[in-house]
Order: sequence, then C-alpha cells, then structure tokens
Amino acid sequence: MPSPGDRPSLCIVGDSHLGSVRHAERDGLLDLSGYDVEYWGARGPAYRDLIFRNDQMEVRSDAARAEFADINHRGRTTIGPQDMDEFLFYGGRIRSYDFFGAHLQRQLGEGMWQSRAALAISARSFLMSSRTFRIAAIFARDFGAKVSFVTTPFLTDGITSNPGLAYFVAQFPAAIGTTAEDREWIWCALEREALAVNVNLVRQPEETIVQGVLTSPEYAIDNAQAASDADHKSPAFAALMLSHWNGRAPAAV
Amino acid sequence: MTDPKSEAQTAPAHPYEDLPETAYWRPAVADAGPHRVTGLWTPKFRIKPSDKVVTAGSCFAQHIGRALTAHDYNWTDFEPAPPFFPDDEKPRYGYGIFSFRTGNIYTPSMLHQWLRLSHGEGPDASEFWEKEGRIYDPLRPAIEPDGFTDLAEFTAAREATYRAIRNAAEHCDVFVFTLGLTEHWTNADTELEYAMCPGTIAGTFDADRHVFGNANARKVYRDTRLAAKALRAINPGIRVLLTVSPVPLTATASGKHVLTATSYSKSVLRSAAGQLSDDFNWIDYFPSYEIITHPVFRGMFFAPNMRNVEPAGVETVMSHFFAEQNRAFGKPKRKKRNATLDPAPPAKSEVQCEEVMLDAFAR
Repeated sequence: MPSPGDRPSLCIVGDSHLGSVRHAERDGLLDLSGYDVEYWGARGPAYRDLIFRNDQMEVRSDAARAEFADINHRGRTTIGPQDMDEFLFYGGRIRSYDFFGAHLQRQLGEGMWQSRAALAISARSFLMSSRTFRIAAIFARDFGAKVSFVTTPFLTDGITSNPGLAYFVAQFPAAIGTTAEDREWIWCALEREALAVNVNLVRQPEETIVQGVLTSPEYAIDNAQAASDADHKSPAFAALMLSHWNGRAPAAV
Repeated sequence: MTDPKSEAQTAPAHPYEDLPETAYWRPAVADAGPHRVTGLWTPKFRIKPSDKVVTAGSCFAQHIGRALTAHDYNWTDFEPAPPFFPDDEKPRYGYGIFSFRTGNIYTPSMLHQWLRLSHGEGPDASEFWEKEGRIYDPLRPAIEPDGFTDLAEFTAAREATYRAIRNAAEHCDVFVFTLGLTEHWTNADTELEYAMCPGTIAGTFDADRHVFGNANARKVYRDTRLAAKALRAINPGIRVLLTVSPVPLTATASGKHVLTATSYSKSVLRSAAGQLSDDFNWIDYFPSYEIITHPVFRGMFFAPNMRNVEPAGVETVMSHFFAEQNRAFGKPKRKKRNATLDPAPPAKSEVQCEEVMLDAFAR
C-alpha cells in the first residue's frame, strides 16, 4: 500500500547499479527526504530471476528472493503496482549504449538512413527486449502506476582494463566523438516509445558524457581500473542522474 | 591415311546419335521422374561461398537470397534494417528481402531505371503520391507500410536506396535478377515507370497520364541487356544470373485471360533470358522457372491457388542450384573460421565490483 503518511512512497528498483543510488543517499549527495523510499533489487545473477506474475513483481528462485528481501528494509519479496506511489527503475539491465553505438555507427559511419517509423519500431523493440522494461510498462500502462526508468549508463571512458569497453569502441568507431545533437534523435525515439506506455525515460545527463557515447572517468567507481569495471558508476553519478529525474535538484554534488 | 571404312564405323551417323543422356527425353525425364531429374543447368561460372551475391527482381528472388544465406553463401544486404529492428517486422518494411530496399522490381526496364536513377540519370523521378497526409513512393509504394511522414523522408529514403544500389553494383560479384512481368505502367509525361498501376496501393489513376505497356521479347531482351551492361560498366567483373519468376500474374490489364496473359509474359521473359545467356558469357540463366512450372513436376510445388510457390518448391529449386554448381565446379572449399579474426563480444560483465551493491545495503 502507498505510504499512509504525508510523504509519497517511492520504490527504486534495480540491479547492482542500485548500490550507487543508495550510497549517494547515505553520503548526503542525494536528498530523497520528501519520499518514503524503499529499495528493491539484487545483483545481476539474482536480478535475472525477477518476473511479473500474479499482477506483481515476484522473484523466481528462493536464493534470489532472499537477496531481494534483504535489500528491502521491509523485507518485501513481492511488489505490486499499487503498493507504491511511484516507481523508479534504475539500470535494469538495459544497456542504452548498445542502442546508441549501433545507431550512430549505422548513420554516421555507414551513411545509412531509416524512417521515423522504422526508428520507432527499433526503439520499441530495444526497450521491450528488457524484462525490466516490460514490467515497468505493465505497471505504468496497465495499472496506471507512476513509473520512471533510468537505463544502464554509458560505459566509463578510460577503463583500459575492461575488454567490453575496447570491444565497444572497436565495434562502433563512428559513435566516438559524436555530439549531443547527434544523439538527440536517438534519445527522442527512446523517450517517445517509453512515453507510449506511460513510462518516463530519464536521459543520462549530458554533463556526464564524453567522447560521444561514454561516461566521464570522473564518475568511475573507486577501484574501476583494478576491477575492470566500466559499467558501474560512482554515487556522484547516481546523484546527478536522479537530479535529472523529474527535474529534482541534488542535495550537493 | 585413315581407313574410310573404320571412320564410318566410329563416327555418329547423325547429330542425335551420340548425345549425353540429358539430351533424350526418355532417360532424362520420363524414366527419371520429377524427383530424379538432374543436369537441368550447366552453370557458366562458379559462385563461390565468398562471392558477394546481390538479389533483386520479382518476389521469387527473395527465396534465392534466403537460401544462399542458409547455405553460408555471401548474400549481401546493402541496405539492412536498423539495429534492434525485429525480424518479424523486416519484410513489412522491405528489409532483408532483396539486397536493397526497392521492393519488387518486376521488369528489366524498371531495374534499368533504378540503376540510372541511382547514378543521377534517367527520367524525372520526383513524383510522389499522397494519401491521408502520408507520402508514398511510386517506385515502391508498399515499402513504408504507412507511407513516409513528409517529403523530406521520402527524399532521404530514395537517396539511401540509390546509395545502396550504387554500393551493390560496385562491390558485388554476382547479380541475380529475377524477371517477373512484361506488363507495366508508365507516366506519359515523364516516362517514369511505376512499380505497379497507380491507384492500386496509393496514387490516383489517370487514364490520360498513366499508360499501359506489355513488353515483347525484343524489348525485354533490350532492357535486360541495357541493365546488365550498365552493371558491367560500373563493375567490369560482375556476372549476371537471370531467373524467371514462376509466379503467375495476379491480374492482367492486357484484355486477355489472365492464364494466357501469364503464358505470354513468362514465355517472353524466358525467351529473352535464354537469348541473353546465349549471347554473353558473363550472363547465365538458371531454370528455376522450369523446375516449378514444367508439366513434369505436375504443379506439385504450387499452393492450391496455383499461384503461390510452396516452400518445398523453393527447396527443390535451390537444391538443383547447389547440386549443379557442385557438379560443374566441385564442392566449394570453405575456409575455417578463425576466431581471432572475428572475436566474439566479451560477456557483458557481471563485474567483480558487485560488492558495491552489498556494501550499499549492508546493515
């Protein structure tokens, strides 16, 4: 049930990227005091067990269910669309950089073109390829829940130890060095398709983007190079990201 | 001196005496039956799995591209669908059917027109059709199912396809063209040939401007030769493989019965294709038409409407294609795939740093 108090309830749902949001809140970089906040999620392997069943989010396996419950301070093992006033899906294993890289490469590197209708189909297919997004869409479209969605951020620049980053750069060379203007039509397509199912898609803030499709090393996690981690981001990044969610200002960044 | 007596004993008495089995109906067809007929095609040139093959033409051509891909041949799509475009939507948008997004090219004159337009020549092709606020392309009215948003999209889409055709012509090794129809519609003012009669999918039919034509063998021969020579001028090493679509006409505007109109159309196309194959050593004809339509196959490859070709027919056609290529040139040698040349993407990292998560929620 939504929060009975004055504060609206907010559930932040996500995979391991959720950690940076929690850290940002703990470190005072992010003020969520206006909400009764609950986190709900799990690390990647367990997160894959998240499903939609019986009109709610459930977790398939016992082990994963325990991890979800452990992260939620109320120990929830299921959450329905009516249980909260608002949902923010964060990360959710939907790697927007793949979409940006492939489209920028096709358009700028290979000189190809597609109609708006074809781009819309491509964006819809990309979003709906993520189980998390499909759940978000059901919550928003079918149950009228207030839902926002933050995709997995672009890979962090400079993490030379990460093979995924090197592969990405080699696959999509034309995407490197692109401008905000080059990316605008792609964001618009993703936003439009998300909005079509009543989901508010939150863009990665421009100030965090370098080289066209990478995240500034400034937002790397502490031991990113040693851990070969170009995926996860710092609490400061999460704070900035959430500041762009519905235009909320961060407490201090 | 040769002994005239012994020479008379070894030399054939007439040209039909010493021919291969395939030259005689009884052993080659009657005794073999439809499932064991072989040697229908002696290919002029080898098509290697590494050769870049382009397909265009009537709807039957799409099967050839698909079968080549399924057999690890290098069918090349010069105008592929956008990334993440779902496979089941691709045909509706004209992606992945032919090597570029032209939709069906039914006539050789239309192929020649596309080639000229993509190189800045040919008739004025700026005509567009409007329906319910959307823009349709007279050269391919079904390519964008709901039409283009505006003229800018229409123009950009054309340019994209012109570019793809140029690339295909420049870079392919084998150009497969399936001749489909002799009947066509043209704009009397601009001489622009349409993909189909205006007013059927989009556009408005105007009897004064929209002119019907039904090509004879001479015209089909000339148009196909012009298109093939245009390709050859762009890419001197290109080889052309012609086929004739076995799919009957949906409708005829010739005033004849659709059955006899179909016979006329297919006979003309078949005749021209055969003549071109005889005249040029870089043009060949593959008899997919005969494999589907010849009485020896008893119509078994047609769907009950006697028009659509069943998958078994396509499989049979392509099995002849590969068998005759192998018979003439031996089985293709395939290079072993070198994993280091095409590295698989690294697994998306679950990365070691997931302790960030545990740390964040530690109580």
